[in-house]
Amino acid sequence: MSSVIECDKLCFRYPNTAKTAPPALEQVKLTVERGELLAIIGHTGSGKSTLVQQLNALLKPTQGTVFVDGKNIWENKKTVREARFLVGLCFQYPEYQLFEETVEKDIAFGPKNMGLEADEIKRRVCRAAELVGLDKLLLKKSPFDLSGGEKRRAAIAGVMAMEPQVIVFDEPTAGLDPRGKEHILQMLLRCRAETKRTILLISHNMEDVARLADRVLVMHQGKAAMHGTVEQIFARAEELTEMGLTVPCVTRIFLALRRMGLAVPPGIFTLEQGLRELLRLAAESGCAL
Amino acid sequence: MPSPLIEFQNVSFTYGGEEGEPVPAVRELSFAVPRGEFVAVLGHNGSGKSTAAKLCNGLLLPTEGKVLVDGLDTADEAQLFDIRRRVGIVFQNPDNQIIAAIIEDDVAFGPENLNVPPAEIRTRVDEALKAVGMFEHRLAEPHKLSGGQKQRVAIAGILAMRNDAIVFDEATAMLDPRGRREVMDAVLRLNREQGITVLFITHFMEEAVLADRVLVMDEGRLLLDGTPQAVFAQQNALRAAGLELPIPALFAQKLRAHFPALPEDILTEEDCARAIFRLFAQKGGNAQ
Amino acid sequence: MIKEITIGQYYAGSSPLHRMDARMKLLLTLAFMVVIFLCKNFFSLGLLAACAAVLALLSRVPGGMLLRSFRPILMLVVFTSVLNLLYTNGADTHPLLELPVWRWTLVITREGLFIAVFTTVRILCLILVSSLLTYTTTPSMLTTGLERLLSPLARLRVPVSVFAMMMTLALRFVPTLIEETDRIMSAQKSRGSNLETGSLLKRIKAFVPVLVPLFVSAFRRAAELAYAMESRCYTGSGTRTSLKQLRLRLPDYLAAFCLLLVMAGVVALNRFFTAVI
Repeated sequence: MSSVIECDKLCFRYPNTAKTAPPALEQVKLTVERGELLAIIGHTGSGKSTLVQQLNALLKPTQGTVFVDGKNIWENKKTVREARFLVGLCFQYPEYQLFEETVEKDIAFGPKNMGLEADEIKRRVCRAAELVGLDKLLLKKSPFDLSGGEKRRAAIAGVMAMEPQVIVFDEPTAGLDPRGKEHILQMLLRCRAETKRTILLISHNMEDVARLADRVLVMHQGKAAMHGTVEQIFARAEELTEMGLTVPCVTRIFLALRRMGLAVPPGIFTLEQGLRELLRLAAESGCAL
Repeated sequence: MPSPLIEFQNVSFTYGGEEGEPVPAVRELSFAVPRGEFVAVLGHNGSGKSTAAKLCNGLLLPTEGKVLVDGLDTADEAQLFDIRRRVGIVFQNPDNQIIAAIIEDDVAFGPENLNVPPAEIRTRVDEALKAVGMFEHRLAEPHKLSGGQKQRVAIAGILAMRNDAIVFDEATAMLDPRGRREVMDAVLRLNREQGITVLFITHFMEEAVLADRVLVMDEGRLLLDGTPQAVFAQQNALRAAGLELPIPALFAQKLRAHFPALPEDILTEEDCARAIFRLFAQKGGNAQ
Repeated sequence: MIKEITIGQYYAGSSPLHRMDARMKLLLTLAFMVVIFLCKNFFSLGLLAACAAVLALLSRVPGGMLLRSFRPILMLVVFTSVLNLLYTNGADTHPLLELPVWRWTLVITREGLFIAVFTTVRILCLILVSSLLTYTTTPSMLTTGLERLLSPLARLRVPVSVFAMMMTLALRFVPTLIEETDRIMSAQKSRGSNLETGSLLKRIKAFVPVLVPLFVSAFRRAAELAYAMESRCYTGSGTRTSLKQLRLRLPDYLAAFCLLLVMAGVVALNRFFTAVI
């Protein structure tokens, strides 16, 4: 089978919340194909973060099932623990979880908890540091002496070193400057190309989603509102805007053009597509450029 | 000609190295912000933007040169209250600048420190909260608000001091798109309607294009200074400073290779859409 | 989730108790507690219990919420009652019941029963009045009230306003730090930290990866907060005005008068009836 994650009829309600309040997750169905990059978008509070915490058994669904790698993660204690290592979760601002004396030890924390041999841990730490683009010299330093961007990458390496089947990134570029953002995005692309891992990317930045994702899941008020390829999702740009979500800048420009009365399609999300579309329109209107 | 509200005169600032070598953060920085202007400051991390922000109201004092606020020298300790009353700072992390457990108490914090009489604090707090659209949340607890709402409370806390200028130190960096829009709308309104001077430090190009003037910092120095149009025309200099063009400008640049009639100074989505529309409306007319 | 957490146990309302001056409430609560300890017999204690019940009704705090505040001390009440029941015997006591238990005989005396009931009612009254104070006064009002009450100490160079500021900041940052702890715990669990099982020592060790980041972040927050406060003209010394104006009004004085009456009643009832304790 090719789906690495399958959730069905997933419901979740935070304990101690008012009975009248809507649940955090409601009847969510989700399949993630092996090797794909799935972007999860939605407002703050739409259930994105709650959803991904179901995938590595941090939160237990009130109803419904979660299958990772073909196994029900809530079957027994062992499967719960395995789920932690099958799905690596990289939280928002992960640099706030660094604690060890050296960067190397911090990256090794996950692999050590997995009970791996010293040699294997060492190999994984090196590999992870290489993947995130951390200089070898930094490994012996204290994580608290690194720059902001380096800290972020060291923390991400800590999750990667567990070599999970699926890695979830929750807003990996939040709060970074343009250079730092580009570093992280390059790292995501490299990680994908070299390890063929499945990646889930929670993001508010639609430009990044348009650039990186294969498919997109739109969360809205605890429900999976849309699920499809990037083209399919951004073709529904008007609906997304109604939900109060942003769409890529080029998509917004084309929406404005549509409102002004130009005959352009709604699902344009890259600069190249935009150019192509305008050239086609120019050719149709039959005028030389 | 009245004196500028904030003026940097050849300012350098070096972080005193307690252990390591001293680290220069700002070098020979000179600029002036006239009253009522909306100035955006761009630059990557470590370019000295945040240090410059803290120099604006005497949180840090220049190692060399002078910072003047409405003609008052920030190095003069006797003037510090007058300086901070005029220039407030909204910081990056919304959680780490709200002091009280109730919103209106927090907004009152500044006026209380200035020994404003209680009845007047009440009017100031209400006015300030209304100006940022947070009046109905005045009795809420900060941890129940969204990031954008918390930043607006922080702005209100400064307005209640009856300030002249607000410095935003990457105040939108930790917010989601909705929060950023809320803050940006509030800032623009305060600048246009109440004439509040704004120094807006940011990573987001699409925020910078809304300013009257853009400063670009790199390695602690001032690299570019001009209108958004003038600054974003210098693509190579921006790239060198680790910055990109706003996407509408990039798009227009790409289009211009095929549609040379497209104007050069497109920065915002609206500009871009309008220019493209005009192009096709003309062409349509020609074709018929 | 964090948005659900409310610090303290304030119950929003506009009852007469809610509207009272925080200073008076603090003082009267303290006085009421002292009077509870002055009670010597069931008649005076009964008077106080009745007063506490009237106050509870006046506060319009739902009964369920009030009962919930008893829960944490339930064990204590049961424990002391059992001890009082079993260990009160001697020459002047009147045995009521004799229970043979294995090799011993447990004697329950009338005096033991009285004392057990008496202390239980006393503890419940104490909890009730103190909960009423926190149910009807916001934490920030309590801080302000306490600050004003202690302000004379400032003349003895006790930094009262600094302490009050510390309390305000603590109230403000408790939810933030709870949220942060939660987040760090989730992050470390995701890296395979085992925080739930194992021996005590093991679990303490397992919390190092949570505590280190928490402290680092708390210090960073403190540094940023210091800039934010300084930027808003806080100096930590000198006088500050306050948005919140506490004013004693007629109901506050009336409440004080009522408490005086009750106090007199307690003294009289102690006199005329024999003491239980």
